[in-house]
Amino acid sequence: MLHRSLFSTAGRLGLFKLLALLVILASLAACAPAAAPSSGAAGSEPTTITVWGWPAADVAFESFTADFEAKYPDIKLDVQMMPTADEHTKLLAALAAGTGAPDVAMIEINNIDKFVAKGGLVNLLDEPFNAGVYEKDMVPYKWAQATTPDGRLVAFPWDIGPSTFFYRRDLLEQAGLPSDPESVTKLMSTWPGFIDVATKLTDPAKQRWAINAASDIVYSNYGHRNFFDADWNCVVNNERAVQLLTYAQQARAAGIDAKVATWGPEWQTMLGNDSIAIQLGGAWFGGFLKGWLKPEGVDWTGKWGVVEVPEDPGQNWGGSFMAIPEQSEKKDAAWKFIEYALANKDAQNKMFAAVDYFPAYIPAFDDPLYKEADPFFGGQETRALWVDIANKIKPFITTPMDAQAEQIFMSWVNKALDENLDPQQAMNDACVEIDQQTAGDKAEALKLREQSK
Amino acid sequence: MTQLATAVPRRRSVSLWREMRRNWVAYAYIAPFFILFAIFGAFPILFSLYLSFQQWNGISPIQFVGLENYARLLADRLFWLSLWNTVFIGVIAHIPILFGALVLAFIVNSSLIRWKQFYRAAYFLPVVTAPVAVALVFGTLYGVRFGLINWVLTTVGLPAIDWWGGTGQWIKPAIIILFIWRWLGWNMIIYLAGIQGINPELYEVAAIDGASLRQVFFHITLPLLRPIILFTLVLSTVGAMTIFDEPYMLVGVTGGANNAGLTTALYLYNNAFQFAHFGYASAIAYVVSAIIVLVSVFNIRVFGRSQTEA
Repeated sequence: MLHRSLFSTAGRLGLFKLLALLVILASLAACAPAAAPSSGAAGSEPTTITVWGWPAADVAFESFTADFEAKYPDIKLDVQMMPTADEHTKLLAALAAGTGAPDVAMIEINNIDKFVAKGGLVNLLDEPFNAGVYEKDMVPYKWAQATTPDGRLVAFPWDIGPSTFFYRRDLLEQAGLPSDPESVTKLMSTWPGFIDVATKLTDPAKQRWAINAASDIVYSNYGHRNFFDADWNCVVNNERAVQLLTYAQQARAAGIDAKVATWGPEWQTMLGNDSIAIQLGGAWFGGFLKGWLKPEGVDWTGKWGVVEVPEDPGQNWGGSFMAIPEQSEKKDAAWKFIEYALANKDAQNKMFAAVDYFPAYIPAFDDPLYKEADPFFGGQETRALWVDIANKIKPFITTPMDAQAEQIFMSWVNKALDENLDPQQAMNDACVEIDQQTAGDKAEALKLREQSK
Repeated sequence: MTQLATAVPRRRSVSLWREMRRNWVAYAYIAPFFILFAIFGAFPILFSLYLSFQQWNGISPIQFVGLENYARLLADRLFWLSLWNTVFIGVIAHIPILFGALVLAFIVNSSLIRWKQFYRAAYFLPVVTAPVAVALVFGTLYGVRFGLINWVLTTVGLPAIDWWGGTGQWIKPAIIILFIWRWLGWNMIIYLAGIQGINPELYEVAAIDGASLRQVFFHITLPLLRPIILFTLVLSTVGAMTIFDEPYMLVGVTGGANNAGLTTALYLYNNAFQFAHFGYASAIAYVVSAIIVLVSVFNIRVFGRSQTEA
């Protein structure tokens, strides 16, 4: 009879009242544990901060976790790794929803413009973070990228990607070319020189090509940047871009590219079976070669060399940031973690040694680590080269429209290569489309920029 | 009676409410579906209708822009291109899918075939295969330099196919082949269920009368399957207009060379999750939905009417 009376009580109370009661109880239960630690933050209760990112950041963090926990015994890390694209989508959703975001979120260079110029992330220049004191210690363009049109810093620089060409010493030797970095740098100091070397390397009968995609010649100078001038007018139809596209067309005509997309399974296979001799990449690409790209049972030690990009070596590809969402209730602990990990020579260099993420923190470069010869690269002092390139990188312009602009720009570059279009005309067309497609975002961001003046 | 009739609307709502309260346990049992549907179905549908008249980047305050998103759509070259790509891929892929599935279902159901279960499972397998595995396998098949298809072609002396290059002329065929492979078995299973719902006595009568297999197919199976065919047509319209996985796996978010593989769903995804144009993406979603509804109504009219005549 018990259930009978229970039902009738429920009937009397009314279903909706009962449901409402349940909802209130459930939300109270959910709030209670969350409220407790923040009220007792001053005490000895450990604070756990959630950190979102993608591999190999977890390995990078492990390299200094013990030191961090020794310094801040009351802060515990909950590191959650997911694929790069998923992380950004989830973060955007959590910021839009106003709930569910982590305390610290990694943001990649490709996605930073999606978050700059919008709300949701803490301005790190404000009290109590005062990140401004580190501005002089950071690679300037990196700092600029995370700064919003109205002057807030919404993410803290982690690493940069000084771009270089990675080349196979043994394959160059087979083609009768010198393979030491000095000679190769000299041979490939201009794009015509690069194409010349590449032509000697390429032999389709032996399934060998110099590079995977001729579009990399353009991309080397235009990864995530320089699509607009200071007034945010599209400039990819300028002389430089057209010149690079012309070189890329010459490369395509010479047949030196395999026409295989970077990152696909076929590309990976071809790197592994000696079908691609030269590959463009940021410093982080060295870590890929030592790690997941290396085919099983093959020893690549001493077989790779690194040279700068022809003509204008100060180039960058990739790199990431860390940010604190506004909704985090543990901003202090989150900032302590970011400051320790990124504005700290010791932690930055431990991460660099572990996963080849090249620090954006300039004081880190003053370390014996950067003078070391890397046996994987045949004893070349690659880190010193990357520091040199990082110093050569000129300030460049990034805008909130870059992700879309890059997609349209590279589509036109590939179209110009595939259909052998007039390079100037193709780049003009690219600009028309970029201006058209990004007009809405541009107006919005400009309004923000005006407001701050 | 007339007195009562005027009182009906009010009485009905009161008694409905009373009925619901009396049977609240039953309603509580079916509530989970409706609660989940309200949160994950109805809310997004209504919210994106609202969003389609706004400008929103996901974080900043939502701004009302009236019909601007729809006006922009009309002038957007990429939107029209994506619509053309979607319709082209959808129509070309569904001709072999629907005809093939029907014939396959008929064959697999026929008493002349052995190992029916094996064939049914084999044709259905692509539907339940994880997209990641599909992407890997087809990436290997479609490889330009080290692909299985190109290896076969060059071995027999034919030129290799430049799948992703040129003007993108091979991108649509590549997507269509993958799409057919993935969805043939799905439609076959639906037709098979329909065929098995046909009274077997009709076949026996036909056999006694000496009807050929061909006659049985065209005069018994096909006409009686009409409602099922209508069902698959509607499902296919929805499936075709929302093609996403296949081009995303093969050519990524841009749709490849000349945007040849850019479908409307891909363009929508791009706008929402790559560029954070949620208002614009919602407008695209509503235009696509309108097209699906129109085509479905057309299908229902054409097939539905002839059925009532029959």
